[in-house]
Amino acid sequence: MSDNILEVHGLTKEFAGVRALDNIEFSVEKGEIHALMGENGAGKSTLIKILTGLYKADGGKIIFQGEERKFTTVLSAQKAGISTIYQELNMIPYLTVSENIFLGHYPYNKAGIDWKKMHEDAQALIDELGVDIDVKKQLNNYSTAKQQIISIIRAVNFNSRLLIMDEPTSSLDTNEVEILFGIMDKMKEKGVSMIFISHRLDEVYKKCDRITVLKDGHYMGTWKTEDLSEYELLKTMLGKKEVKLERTLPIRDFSDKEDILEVRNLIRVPYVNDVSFRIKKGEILGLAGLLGAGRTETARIIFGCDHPDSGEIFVEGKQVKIKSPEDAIHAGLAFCTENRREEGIFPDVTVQSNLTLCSLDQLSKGGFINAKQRKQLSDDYIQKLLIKTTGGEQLIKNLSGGNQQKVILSRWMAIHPKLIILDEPTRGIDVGAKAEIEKLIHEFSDNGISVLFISSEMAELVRNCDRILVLRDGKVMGELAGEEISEKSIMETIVTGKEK
Amino acid sequence: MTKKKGITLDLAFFKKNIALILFLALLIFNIFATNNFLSWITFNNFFKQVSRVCLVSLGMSLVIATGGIDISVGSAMALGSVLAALGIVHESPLLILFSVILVIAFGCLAGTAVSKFAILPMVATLALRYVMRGMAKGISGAANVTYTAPKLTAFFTQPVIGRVPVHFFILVIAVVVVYILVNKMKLGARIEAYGNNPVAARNCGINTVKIVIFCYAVTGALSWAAGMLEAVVVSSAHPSTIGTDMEIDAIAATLIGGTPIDGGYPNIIGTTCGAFLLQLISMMCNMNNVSYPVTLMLKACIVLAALYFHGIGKRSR
Repeated sequence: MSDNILEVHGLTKEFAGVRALDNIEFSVEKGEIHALMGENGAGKSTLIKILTGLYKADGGKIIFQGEERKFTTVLSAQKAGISTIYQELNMIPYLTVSENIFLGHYPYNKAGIDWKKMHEDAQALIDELGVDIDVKKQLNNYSTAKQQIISIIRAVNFNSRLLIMDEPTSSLDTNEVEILFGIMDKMKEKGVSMIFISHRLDEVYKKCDRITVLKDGHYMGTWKTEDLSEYELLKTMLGKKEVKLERTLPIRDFSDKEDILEVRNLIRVPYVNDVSFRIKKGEILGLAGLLGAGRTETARIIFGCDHPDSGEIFVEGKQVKIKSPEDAIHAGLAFCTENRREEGIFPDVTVQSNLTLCSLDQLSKGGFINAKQRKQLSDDYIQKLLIKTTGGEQLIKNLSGGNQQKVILSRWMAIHPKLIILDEPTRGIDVGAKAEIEKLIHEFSDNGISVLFISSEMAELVRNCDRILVLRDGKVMGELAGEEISEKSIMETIVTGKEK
Repeated sequence: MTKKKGITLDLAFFKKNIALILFLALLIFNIFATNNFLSWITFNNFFKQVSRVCLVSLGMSLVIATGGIDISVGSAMALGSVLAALGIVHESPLLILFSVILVIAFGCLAGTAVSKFAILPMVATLALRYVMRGMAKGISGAANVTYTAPKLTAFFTQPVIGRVPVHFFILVIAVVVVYILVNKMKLGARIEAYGNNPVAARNCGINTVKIVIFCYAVTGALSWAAGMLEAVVVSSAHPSTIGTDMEIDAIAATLIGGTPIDGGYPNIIGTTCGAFLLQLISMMCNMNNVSYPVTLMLKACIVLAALYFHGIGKRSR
């Protein structure tokens, strides 16, 4: 008991009536690396924000170093000895490494800041860890990994006893991860505790002593890493108890259909590591995997939003060079992005303009838009998809999430694509609209449009896909088709892979 | 519920048309309060003076709609008019043509820097502001370029049909063309979309680089035209005085007109009314012998009032 540096009891937090955290139990031992696991909306970030003083808990106790504490500001948490290392670094790129390490704690002499002492002390801290960093250089000379290390050094220099590392490895390559792990080991020897958040199972199993799982704001349990198999972990994180899985899709055979899209050896370090697959005409292919498995990244590469390091893309058997979404659309692809608000809608623009933006070419002659045709097209889809709006002239930001999503789907349907990529199309949408969107997915398929379907809800994939490609850490772990598809088989494939 | 809706609707109407409403209010006020206001002379003067700012503001609206800003318009006016004046002096139509092309090319350069190389619009156009003003001074030896072209001068100074100045027609054509471009054409729909959400616009296959370059190029062309209007009246182009402070007035007119400073729908009618409003304040003060410092402060108040209205919606969001 006395070995616990941090104990959390019965922690509860509500946002507008929704329980983001419900009675959370959590403890971290001295010198321990503790993994905090959970999918989107599990409550990890809320918990961390409470621990670091960004949010105030509605109920429960936080005991840090044997004392009950209530952190009201980030500074108070930091002073007590809790520091966070974010994936986006909160340091100042144009200052030197030593200035960053000593930020707010500059050593002074009679003439002002004692630069010599600061550089010497900083260099000593760096050398102790055996990293090759010149403290007099500007921070932005160094890679993300080194910057992470510097931010750890800074935290420890502040006398932090607990480091919260929020996906520190998500943008690092393998070598950089190794360097970071080395530092974490040294911190551990010094008795510093760490809360480690990562979606890469390998890392968790390699580095962490214990694992705590949260799901939908609930505490699911804490295990010693060696006592919890990867499969059990996934089941705890993702599995829904007793959910009846109605497969709405009959088992269909596509072997005689032509290929619409083929992707060969797509690589974008570190997110996508050699992904290959093909989709037949009218087929619904699901992409399954944990957060950060490279699903969205793969989709973004196919659509030209990001550029791959290497790899080839074929549309209807012909190799295409897709350098931008413009090229992708010309090749017959469509992409409904996962962040509807940030990347999908034009909030201050009318429903009609939102809906017809991609089909302007077919609606205009000599650059002039045919207003009548445009209205017709927009009204047709509003009617067909039962979009709830006061009319085409309403601003899209005033629509509900589900209806916004339908407008975006209409936008893509209107250009009659060969393949549509749907990235989390039902996220943040109420149940009724969800069912309608799932129905639309089937309609795409019935009309001969292939679908690449990305979803974090496994049940959704199981219900709607002809075939499922399982990704893990940017690699294809296996492929499931027809009757093989089930939540269990997906999770097993994430853990162990499947013979192809 | 219904009552609440009524109020928000009214606000939306005010917000959208505040420039027009303020302009009309001030116009009516002047018709009654200012001596000799309602006359062809006033009409003539008004359009002669407002046309330059208004032309530049139309371009500025497009640039601001893309989330950018162009502070090189004044220098573009100077460079264009000095070169063209030299063209008239040397009787070289080619040089006049070159003056247009050069100014548009600088617009393209600004657009490319902004969209392709992600240079901040303020920085990119600040650089061009110095470059073009410098070139204008270099070409002319920093001296006034005077020419004699009686026909040209007459064309711009003699009213058409005895009363209406040519400026009026030039302005109407420019406003109508830009209005149609924005509201009836593919390009306009894409500019609006890009300004509202650049990331989504790219995802929709819009060639965002082309859009931005186009807007800066149009601003270049309109700045050239405004520079010419300033030069022909006095049959000379002075490299240091033409177009000074023009960017400030054009930005003010655009913002009063309701084009959002962070990008979005370019409100062309609003911009036009914004430019008219600013000009009307100057004229009103001038005709009533109000001193210049007071005029400036009055302008500031009206700008603030207009912007306050545009701010209401944002805050409640």
